[in-house]
Amino acid sequence: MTKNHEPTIFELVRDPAIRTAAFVTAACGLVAFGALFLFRGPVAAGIPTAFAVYALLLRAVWPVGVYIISVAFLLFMPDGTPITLGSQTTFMVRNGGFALSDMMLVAAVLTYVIAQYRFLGLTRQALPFDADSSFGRKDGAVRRPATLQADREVKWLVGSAVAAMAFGQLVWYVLAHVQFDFLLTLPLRWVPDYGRDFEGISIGPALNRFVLLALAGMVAAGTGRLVFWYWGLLRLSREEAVATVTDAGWHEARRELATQEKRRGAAKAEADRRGLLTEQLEGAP
Amino acid sequence: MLTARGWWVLILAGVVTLLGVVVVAGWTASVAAFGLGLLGWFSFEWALFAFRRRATVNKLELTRTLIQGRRVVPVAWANRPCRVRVSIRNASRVWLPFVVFDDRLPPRMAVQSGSPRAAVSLAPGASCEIEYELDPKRPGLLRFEGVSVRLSDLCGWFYHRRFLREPAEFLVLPPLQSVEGKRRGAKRANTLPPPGIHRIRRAGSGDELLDLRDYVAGDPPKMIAWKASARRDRLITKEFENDVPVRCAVFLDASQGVRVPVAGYKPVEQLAGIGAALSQAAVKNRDLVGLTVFDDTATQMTPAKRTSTHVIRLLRSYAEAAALLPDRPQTDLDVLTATALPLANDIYPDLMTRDVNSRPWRLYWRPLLDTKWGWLFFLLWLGPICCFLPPVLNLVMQFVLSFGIVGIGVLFLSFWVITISVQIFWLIWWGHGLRGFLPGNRRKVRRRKQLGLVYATLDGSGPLAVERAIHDDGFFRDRTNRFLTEHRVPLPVHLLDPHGTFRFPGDAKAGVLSDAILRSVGRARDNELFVILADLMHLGSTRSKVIRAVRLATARHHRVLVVVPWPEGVPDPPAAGAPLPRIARDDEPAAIVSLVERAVLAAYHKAFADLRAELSRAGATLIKVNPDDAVRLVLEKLDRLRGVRARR
Repeated sequence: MTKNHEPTIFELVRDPAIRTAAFVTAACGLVAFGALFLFRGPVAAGIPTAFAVYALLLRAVWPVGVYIISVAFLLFMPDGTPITLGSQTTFMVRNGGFALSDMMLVAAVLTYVIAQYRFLGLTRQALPFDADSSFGRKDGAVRRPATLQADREVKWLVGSAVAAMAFGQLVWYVLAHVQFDFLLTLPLRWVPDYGRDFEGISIGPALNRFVLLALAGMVAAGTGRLVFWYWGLLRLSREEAVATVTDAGWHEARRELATQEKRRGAAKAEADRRGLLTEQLEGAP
Repeated sequence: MLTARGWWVLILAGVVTLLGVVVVAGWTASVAAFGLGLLGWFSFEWALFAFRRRATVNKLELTRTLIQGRRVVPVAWANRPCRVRVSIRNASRVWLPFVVFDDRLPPRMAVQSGSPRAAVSLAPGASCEIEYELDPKRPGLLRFEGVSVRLSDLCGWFYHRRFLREPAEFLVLPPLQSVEGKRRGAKRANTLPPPGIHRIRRAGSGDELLDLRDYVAGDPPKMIAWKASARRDRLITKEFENDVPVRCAVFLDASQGVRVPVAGYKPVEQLAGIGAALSQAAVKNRDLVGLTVFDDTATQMTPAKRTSTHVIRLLRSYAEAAALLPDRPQTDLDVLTATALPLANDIYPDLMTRDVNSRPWRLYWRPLLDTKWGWLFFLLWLGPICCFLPPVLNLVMQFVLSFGIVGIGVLFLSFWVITISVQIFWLIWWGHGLRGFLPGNRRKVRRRKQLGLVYATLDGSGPLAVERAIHDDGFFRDRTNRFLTEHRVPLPVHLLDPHGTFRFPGDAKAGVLSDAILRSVGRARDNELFVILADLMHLGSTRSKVIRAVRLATARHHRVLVVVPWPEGVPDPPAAGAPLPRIARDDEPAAIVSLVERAVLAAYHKAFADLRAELSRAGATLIKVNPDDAVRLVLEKLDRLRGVRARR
C-alpha cells in the first residue's frame, strides 16, 4: 500500500511478492492461451491474449473486460467470422454440456480472469475512492500489500475455478434438460430423449431457458437477500437500531409531522413578527 | 457494496450468460458454460463478502493509548511529541482477507512519523496495531473519533466502509517550563530580595529599614533606634519593611473573540501558553498563583496556592480554556450543511446508508394544500365550480331540452369550461408539487433528512426531530452547530458582520473582567501582581470599566500587567512620527492593498496606543505578545517590570 505515490512498473517489479503474483498471473494467462489455441485455434487464442498481455504489463482494468468479451465471442466463432458456423441444432443444446474441451477451456480462462483481477488489486487499486467524503484528502489509490498474499491463495484460485466451471456446466445441464409443462401441477418436467415428441403445453426452447435462468436467479438472489437481511437485523448496533426505528416512524407519520411542523413554523414566524415570547416553539421536540 | 469494477464484471458475466443461454446455445454450449461459471464465481464471492462483512464488522474491538516519554499517559504535554497506539482486534470467528484501517486524526493535527493507516489481513482473534507520532504545538484538546474500516475482497469487486466509533479526548497541557522556571529562581541583582520574599513599603517584620517615627507607647524596646533618639533627644522607633510572598492573580481571557482561529491558531492558545509559563515561573519563585478564566458571561476562579498539585490543576484549566471553540453560531446554512454532511458520512456511515436512512421520492413532493395560498386558490377557483356545478348543470340541461342544437352547444361549452378549470387546477397542483424535485431543493431536503435522522438518533428525539430538521432553519442551524462543536470541527467564522463591524468586540467581557478584578482586589491582602491576559484591543466604550477596575487595583498598591496578543502579520507600532509599515503582499492590486492596509493598521495601532496610554494613566503596564515570541521573552519583560517596581 502506498500513499500519494503511484509506483512505476519497474518499482513494482522489484518487489519479490508482486513479481511472484505477476508470474502466477502470467502462467494462468499462458494456460488459458494454450487451451484456447488447442481447442479453438490461433485466432481465438491470440486476440484475447493480446489484451491479457496489455492488462498485465500496463496494469489496465479495461482489457480484462475486453478479454472476457473476446473469449466469449471467439468461443462462438473461433476464427472471428461466421464462415465456419454451421446450423444450430437441438442436439448441441442437449448434449453440449460436460464436454472435456469446454471444461478445460472455461477453467483456464476463469483462473486467468480472477488472477488478473487480484493482480490489479496488488498493483493498481484495491479499494475505490470515497466520493462522499470531502474531509479525507484524495490520496493515491490504495493497493493491497503484496506481503499479505498467502500460499493457499493459488491453490484456492485453481480449486475455485474448477468448482465454478463445474457449477456452470451443472446449471447449463439443468437449463438444457428441464422444460416448462403447464399441464402439470408443478409445471416443470425433464425433457424427453432426443427424437421423442414432447406432449404438453410449453414455450420455445430459448425462451424456456431464459425464463428458467431468470427464475433461478431471482430465487437465489431473493433467498440470499432475505437471509442476509434477517441476519443483518440480528446484528444491528444500538445506534443502527434506533435509526431504523426512527426512520420507520418517520415514514409512518411523515405527512402529519410535516403539517405540524409547517404550522409551527408559521406560528413562530407570526410570534416573531409580533415580538411575542416563542420559547415553547423553539428547540428540540 | 459493488464497486465500479464489480458492476462491470457483473454486467459482462450477465451479458455473456444471456447470449450463451439464449442466442448461441444451438451452436455451442461453451459460451453458456463460460458465462455461467463466471456468474457462479461472482455470486459466490458476493455471498462470501456479505457473510464476512456481517460477521465481523460489529465484532472489531478498538483500544487506544497515548504514549509520551515512554509511558502511557492520560494527558499530553504540548511541544513534546506523543505516540498514538491503536489496537484493533478481530473478535469474530471469520478471517478478513483484506481490510484497511484509517485512524481519524484530530483536527489541525499532522502526523510526524508513522502512519495512521494499516492494510492487513486479519485472522480470527488476531490484532492489528497502528502507531504514529503527533506533535501538539499548543495546549488544547486532542479528540480522536475512531477508526475507519474499509473491507474489500481480493479482486476489488466488493467494498464496505464502517467506522469504529470510540471517541477519546486527551487534554494537551501547556509545556512544563522547567528551564524558564529555574532561571526565574536565580536572583538578577543583589538589590532583589531572596526568592519568594518581596519587599513591600509597609511596616512589617522584614529586614530592610523602612522609616523612623516617634515612639508610641507600647512599641517594643528592641525597635527603638537609640542613635537617632540620642540625636533628636526623643525616642524614635524603627519601622521595617514588610516581607511577604507576592500573590499573583492571572486573568485569562477565554471569550469568543480569542477562540476564533486566526492564521491557524487561536489567540487563547497563545495566552494560555503564556499564562502557564508565568504561573510555573511564579511558583518556582515561591509565589502564590491564582487563576481566573473569564469569558463573555461568567468567570471561573481558582484560588491562589503554590503547591505542585495546584500547578497541575492550573495547567488543566489553561488547557481546557485553550480547547474552547467559538460557539457563536454559524448562520450560513449552506456552509453548515456542506461541513456537517461529509463529517456524518465519515463518522456515521452506518446511519447514512439507504437501508437505515431512507430517501423516498415522496420526500421531495411539495403538497399544494400545505400552503395558505394553495387553500385560497382551491377555494376561489375550484370551490365555486364544485358548489355551483349541480344547479348549473340543471340549468344547462333545461336549456338543452328547450333549445335543441343550440342547447347542445351550450352543454359542450359548459363541460369544456369545467374540464379546463379542473385541468388548470391539476396543472398547478403538479407544477407546485414537482418544484420540490428541482436539483437545488432536492439536494437541500435530502441532506437535511440525512442529517436530521443522525441527530434524532444521537439525541433519541424521535421522528418529529427529523421533520423539524427539514423544515425549521433555526433548529437545523443550532443542532448542526452543536454537532460540529461536539466533534471539534473548526468552522469558518465571519469576523465581520454585513455592516463591516467586528463580530467579537467583547463588550460583555469587559464587564465580567472588571467585576473579576474588583472581586480580586476585595479579597487581596498585601501587594499582589495582577496579570491580565486578554485581548482588550477591540473594546469600545466599555473599556472604561476595565480601566476603572485597574485604577482601583493600583490605588491599593497592587501591580497590574496587561498582556494582549498581537496578530500575526501586523507590524509593530512605529515610533512617533515614523511612517506606517506595510504588509508585503503581491497578489492584489497594490493601490487598494496599500489603502486598506494602511487604514486597518492605523486603526489598530491607534487602538493600541490609546489602550497603552489609558493603562499607563491608571498605573498599569501593557505588553503585546507576538505569536512567535518565546515565552521566555514574555517572562523577561514581566520579571523586569517586577524587579523595577521592587527596587523602587
